[in-house]
Amino acid sequence: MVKGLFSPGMLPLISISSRTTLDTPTGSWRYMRPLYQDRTPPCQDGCPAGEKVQGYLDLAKKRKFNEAWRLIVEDNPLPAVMGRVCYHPCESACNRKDYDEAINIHAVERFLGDSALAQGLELEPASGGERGEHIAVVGSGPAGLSAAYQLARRGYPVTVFEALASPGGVLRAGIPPYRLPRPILDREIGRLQALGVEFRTGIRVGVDLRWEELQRYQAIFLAVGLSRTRPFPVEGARLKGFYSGLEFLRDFNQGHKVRVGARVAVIGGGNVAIDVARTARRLGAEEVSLISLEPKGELPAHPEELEQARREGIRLLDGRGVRRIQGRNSWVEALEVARVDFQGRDPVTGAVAFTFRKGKGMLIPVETVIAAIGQEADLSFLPQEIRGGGWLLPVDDHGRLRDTNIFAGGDVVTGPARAVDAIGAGKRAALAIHSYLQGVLLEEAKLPPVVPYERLNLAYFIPAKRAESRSLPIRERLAGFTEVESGLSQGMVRLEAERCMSCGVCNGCDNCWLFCPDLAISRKARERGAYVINYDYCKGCGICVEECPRTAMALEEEVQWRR
Amino acid sequence: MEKVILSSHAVAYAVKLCRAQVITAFPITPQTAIIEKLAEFCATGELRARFIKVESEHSGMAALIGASSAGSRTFTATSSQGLALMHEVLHWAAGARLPIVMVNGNRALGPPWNLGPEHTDSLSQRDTGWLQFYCESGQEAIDTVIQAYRVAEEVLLPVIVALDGYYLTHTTEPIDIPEEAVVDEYLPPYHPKHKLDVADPKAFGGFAGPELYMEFRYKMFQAMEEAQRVAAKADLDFRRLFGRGYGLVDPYRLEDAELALVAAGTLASTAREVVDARRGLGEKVGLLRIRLFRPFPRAEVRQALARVSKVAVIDRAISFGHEGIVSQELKAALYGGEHRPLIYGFVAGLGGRDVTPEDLEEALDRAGKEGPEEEVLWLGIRL
Repeated sequence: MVKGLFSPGMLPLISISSRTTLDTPTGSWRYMRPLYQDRTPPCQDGCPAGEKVQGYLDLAKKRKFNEAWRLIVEDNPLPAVMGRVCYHPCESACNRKDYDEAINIHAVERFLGDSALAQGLELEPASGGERGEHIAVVGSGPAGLSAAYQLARRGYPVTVFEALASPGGVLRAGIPPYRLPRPILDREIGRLQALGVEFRTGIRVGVDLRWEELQRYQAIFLAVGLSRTRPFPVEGARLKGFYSGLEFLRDFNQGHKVRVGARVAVIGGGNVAIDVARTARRLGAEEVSLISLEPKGELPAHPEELEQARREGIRLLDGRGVRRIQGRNSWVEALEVARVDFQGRDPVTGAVAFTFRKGKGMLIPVETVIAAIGQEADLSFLPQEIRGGGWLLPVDDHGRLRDTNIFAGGDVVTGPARAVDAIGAGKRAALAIHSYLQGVLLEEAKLPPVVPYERLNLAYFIPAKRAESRSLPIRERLAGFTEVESGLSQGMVRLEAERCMSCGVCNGCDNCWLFCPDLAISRKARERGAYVINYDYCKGCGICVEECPRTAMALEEEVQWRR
Repeated sequence: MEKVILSSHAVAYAVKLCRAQVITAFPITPQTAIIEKLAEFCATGELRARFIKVESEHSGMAALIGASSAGSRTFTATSSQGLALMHEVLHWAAGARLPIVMVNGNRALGPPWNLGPEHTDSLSQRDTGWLQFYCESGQEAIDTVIQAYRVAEEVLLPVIVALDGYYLTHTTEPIDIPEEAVVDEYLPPYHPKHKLDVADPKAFGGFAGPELYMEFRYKMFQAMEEAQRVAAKADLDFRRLFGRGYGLVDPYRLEDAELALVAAGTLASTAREVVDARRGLGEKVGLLRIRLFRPFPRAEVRQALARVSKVAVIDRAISFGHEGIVSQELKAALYGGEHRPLIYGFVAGLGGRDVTPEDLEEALDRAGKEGPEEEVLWLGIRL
């Protein structure tokens, strides 16, 4: 035994430090530094309204349904409505779809919206106090409602002008009640009134109110959508029994008497055409044909809508055009349909390019023809110098008409788009108007990079089936306008929220804390953001970053060694 | 309480009686019935232990190293390739002085792929610093596991309790399951002097340079030497409380024997029958069963064979390039003694081939000749 190193008998049984390991600050070995750094989840990136989907799924998971709803209404004042009508691009973006199935986000949103309505939760103004500038919003569709809400909660007095008798725009005049029961829409709009938004309905600007009279407002937001039917350029369009889809839906949705024959042909391949066809089925039509220029797989309608239409017995005649409408005694009698070569559609104007193929067409006997071939903006109420010469309103990057206090958003700017695009447009316009009125620079909302599926650590996920809402049996559907989708129960919503992989956002899963070999990570509670890295001991091994299931951590060079 | 049960289940009962706190499990034939029974005990709550399903035997042992370092009583069972995979951490467990108890279901190593009983798997872990017991019966298995904890926790070294695959793991016999209260009296709770403790963080297994390393190893050597005395005492105490004991080696009719068979494990039961048969013919033969292989009970072995002139070792193992492993150990032990009988080293029963009474008769006949015909004698080889 070496003398002097230790006294005899002092050597322990095993090599063990005599004092705490905290005496050795191993952090000095580190040249890479782990840190918590949230990324953008793809759902949020995919949502045009910018809903913080991961955030509200996480809250729903913890039964904090009201907080979850508050998070949604930061970006969208109509969760119960949008949970029903939105075509949920968030779900198409969801990383989980590459693992098993996307999260049923829209069903969770709908549940949260309904739950808030059931409890009578009210929208709350953001802090900042009341402001003096009065703002006019023309049009009460999703863009107008969204902008009115975002402005009202920032303290601005807002007046919304609506040409129809009730507010809602396309949500009321377009979308049929089997997709959106009207009490839901009424109550979510009612909540905007409670927040202080003034609605003046039955006022068509340019007819009931002169354009000049809007000049007394400090800012104007134009969200008039696409309210005019595109003319159907085919012989026979003046016969009785021929309708435009927009008018058909508008009349029906306003409670006017609408009749269809036993055999109905709907012309068009978009979502409006499907709404028309499914409405016609419910009004008693026995045979409904959907005639689209686009071949199957290229129809602009959402695949889920197409599938529902198919299940309701609607026949799809794709890749076909209408040559003429045949009449007898001024009533529609039949439709001559022929195969076409479809060449494309202008996404803005909706103009289509196609040629009929050679050969004889097919004669389809029908009593009713409804053309849903697209809409266009009616800008006639605007002075020429404002509206310009195009189909749509010419605005700058912030939705402002050059050198004016007039802003515009929604379909009237983009051409036909989804309701959620309009919600996003309204939100952005409100921010632009706010910046304009306050004379401050508009801040670009810069989100961190999106987490792709490949960056997830899949070892930490277990396949789980997507919770699906039940849909009404076909026979019950066709008996009236009862809502088709039943939504999810609270239990199912929680299970569905549990499936969220929380891409790029720390949700307190404890993996980093568990794996750290130096015990350099501590946590105060199982709460988001509660982890602290003690850099005195972290050696920078990167295990925490590697084992983070969701890329909510990053490893950075401690010192930039190279210039 | 007496029950007719599998020896594998007997092992599980022993672990339950010893109140193991952490058990790791990775299935491998022929030990799987042990961890299955333990899983059942844990699931029903009969045994309040943390049962960890691991992704490999290496992880299984590594997890026990952690658990034992934190002061838990730990258990796992493995076999053959699984034990071989653990090899690296076996050294660590011993060097860290952790009283882990593990059962090995002895099984041949591949290739050729084989599931039959053979001792090469555990005997080749000879130098890892683990104690090794070889059992002959289910009763001995349950009792040895209980003794193993007692010895391990006193000398602070890990223990392998080896059971012949199938012959033992898969056979049933009436087994007396000891009373819980008596086991508690025999085996006090484990309270190590040093343990992982978040309230008192310390580094374990740190670096020791050449100026210190050898001393740690010397302490392990001393602990192994001490283990012979501790194991003998543990067996005596066990006999006092339960009325059964086995000794470190198990001599049979050796008092006046001229020729002794030496074997480990279940082979000894067959050897006993052959010894009785030859005794009936008036031949002076006996048997020495090796129960404790590490530490090797040199003194007991020398004493037991002090009067025989010939020894026939039946090894169910082979060290390629030399000979049967028990034979090798025996020779080394006897060389240091004063009496050096002639040793016939037989290799038999590899890969689970039956070693029949006829085989042992042949061994005795060949050992009757004037000196071994070769250095290593193979029994029943067919070429």
